[in-house]
Amino acid sequence: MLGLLLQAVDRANQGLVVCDEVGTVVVCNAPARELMNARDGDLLAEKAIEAALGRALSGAEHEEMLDLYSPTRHTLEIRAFPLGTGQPPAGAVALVDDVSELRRLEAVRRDFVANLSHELKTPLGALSLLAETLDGEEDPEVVGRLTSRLGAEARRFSRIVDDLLDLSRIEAGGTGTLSPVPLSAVIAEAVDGFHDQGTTRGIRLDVGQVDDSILVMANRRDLCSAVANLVDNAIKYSEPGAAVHVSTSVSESRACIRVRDEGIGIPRREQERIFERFYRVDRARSRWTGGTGLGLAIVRHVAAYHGGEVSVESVEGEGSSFTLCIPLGRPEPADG
Amino acid sequence: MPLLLVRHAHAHARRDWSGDDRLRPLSSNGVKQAEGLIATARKFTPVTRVLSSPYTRCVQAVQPLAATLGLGVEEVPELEEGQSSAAVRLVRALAGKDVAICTHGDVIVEVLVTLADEDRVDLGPNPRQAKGSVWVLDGSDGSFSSAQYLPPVLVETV
Repeated sequence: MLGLLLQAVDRANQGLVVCDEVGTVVVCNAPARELMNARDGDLLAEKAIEAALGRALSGAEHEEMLDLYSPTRHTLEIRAFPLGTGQPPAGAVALVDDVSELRRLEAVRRDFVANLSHELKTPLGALSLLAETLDGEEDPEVVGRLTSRLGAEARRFSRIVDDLLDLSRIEAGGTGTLSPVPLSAVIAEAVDGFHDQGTTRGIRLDVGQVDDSILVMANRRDLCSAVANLVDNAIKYSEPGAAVHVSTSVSESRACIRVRDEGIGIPRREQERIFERFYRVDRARSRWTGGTGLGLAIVRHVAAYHGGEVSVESVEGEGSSFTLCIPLGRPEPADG
Repeated sequence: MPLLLVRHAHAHARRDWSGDDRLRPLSSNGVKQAEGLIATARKFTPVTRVLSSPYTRCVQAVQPLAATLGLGVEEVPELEEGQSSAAVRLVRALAGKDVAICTHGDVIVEVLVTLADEDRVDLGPNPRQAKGSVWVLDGSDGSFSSAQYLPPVLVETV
């Protein structure tokens, strides 16, 4: 019975340490042993757990957060309770949780909310200022200009809201199930509409041939919008006269869609961060291109729920190349 | 030191003015707002330069302030009605300087929204810009960190 119980607590995620009335450790489960196994910074964890047990033995519950910086940065939550009903207690138990990931997620969420408030407040503030400027304005030329600015800020606001709704839907696992979709159709649909836009800006859109028989497991709408997002970015960050190349490659299990531009490129230190929500390399440029700061976050989440990933290679001054890879699909068996 | 971004004071209505719109002068309330600006500006900085759109309603709005400080009003085309990126560049170049800048409502919107977007300056919940009002912009080296709105104050001329 006791043997089974000891094996069971070894399976817990939480570190558990029990000591007797004089503080001798009598049970220490596997996660706790890992923590107590004194390597560099973990010595601190061991000391903190012992101290917590000591406090509990004096009859008081104890709770603390311990920040460790070595070997990696993490945060432990240590709680200790006296055991038994007598005084002094018959023993004590310490429960140890690694709350680093929880802490990190909380920080990400706080940042997101702070960023989001700012991103929404800016176009709203612009609307408020523009409305006041319009008030009493009699010059039709000025009224026309201000009205068009009002429209632009309202559209920007709704783009942010649309992207946020898309992002939260996709983060929740996307809509519908994945089914085999021809890769050629995804590419054709994604680049449709950009030919004109590219031409307007003097940018040539070069789309490679895709074998019609290649299928990918996809939610067609989301995958198309992810690829379209990459093409849109490539065009926005290209100078007139440059080309944007869309190509595909297929391996045994995956298909990769590559969107390459000859634009300004992305500094190496920023390449990891560009997939974060509201992260922008160049805020001034983003302002002019009308980006919401959510496009690449959407692409990353689409890739993830398709069981794939998106990556970037870029050299400043030479261009960027985004590659979106997802698993291949097999033809659905014909009915009957 | 903060930069003071001033919206021109209340002017005569366009429909009551037959001349060139650039020469349209301040109304009697506008004149009181221009007087009120003196005390407002004094609270902040020893203003060492006063720049303005060449339009009469802008120049007149900062004329009393400039005169009190023994300064002239420098008229610059970047602050004219309808300007946007040139005005933003000018304001950025003056970040951290003791200057008062007077311009038009549409230009102020462009400047403030750019600073909110690019410098992440917080404009507060319901940003305003009444005629004769001042935005106090704190910054240095071409960028800004905070903005505070001061409504216009009317002071009777003696």
